[in-house]
Amino acid sequence: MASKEAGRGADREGVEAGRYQCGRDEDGWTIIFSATFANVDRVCHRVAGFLREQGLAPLFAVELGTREILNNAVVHGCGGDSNKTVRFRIFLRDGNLYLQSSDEGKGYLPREPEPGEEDVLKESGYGLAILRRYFDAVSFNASGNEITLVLKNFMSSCSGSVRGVPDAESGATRSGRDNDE
Amino acid sequence: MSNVEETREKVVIRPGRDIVSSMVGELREELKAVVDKQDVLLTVDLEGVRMIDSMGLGVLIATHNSLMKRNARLELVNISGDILQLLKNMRLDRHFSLR
Repeated sequence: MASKEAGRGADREGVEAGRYQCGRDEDGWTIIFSATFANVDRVCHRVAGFLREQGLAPLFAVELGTREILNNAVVHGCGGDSNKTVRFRIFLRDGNLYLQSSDEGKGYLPREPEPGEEDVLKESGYGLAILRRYFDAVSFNASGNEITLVLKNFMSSCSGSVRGVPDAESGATRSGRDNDE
Repeated sequence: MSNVEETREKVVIRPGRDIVSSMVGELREELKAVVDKQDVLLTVDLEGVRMIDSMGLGVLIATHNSLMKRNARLELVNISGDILQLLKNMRLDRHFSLR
């Protein structure tokens, strides 16, 4: 890794953050951190920095996707145990943007909602629906403890502007690519 | 801590920061305290809120559901374009009052 940030101490709100190691590789960043929500905030700050390196403003969809997969890793993968760690990668390859999270959990493979189920005003369970709406591809490894999100043709579709946000009323668009205004 | 403004007719709560996993526990308690004594209208002012994750949505939905049981309602105001689109994508605009 060409550069590395490492931390063990308090975050900006004074909450013990535990392990937090951030390293750059040839096409992105890898961050390994103790499973806390405070660290999820720190990772999102780093993701915004990665986008700035590409000449882009912070993008809603990218931060939202990062938060969803990391929250899931902290809550379900690590069971809220801050002694466990989450590994996150963000990288660009062949013009596509990848967000990847893995954890120490046993993993699970989420089921697809039943027809009409999404219309119920439930209080949880929106994470996967959000990911499928905002990303071109959402995939899990075989054991279900690693998730990868892809925004295809990311750099060419951004062109220095804010990547669009999908519109539920306009069709099945899940990425912003087809909705850039 | 959110700013809370109470009148006889309504309560306005202003989180003033992103409604995400690192703060939803605190916001949940603040909203619960308001819901327990609110019979008419609870307004959540999203000025200064640029991100809501699914855990944040869950807190707002739980608040909405609790208010509905009391024949009260939840209103969201000063919604950013990105958050408004998120609410539409999740079809929550059909349930919340948005202004």
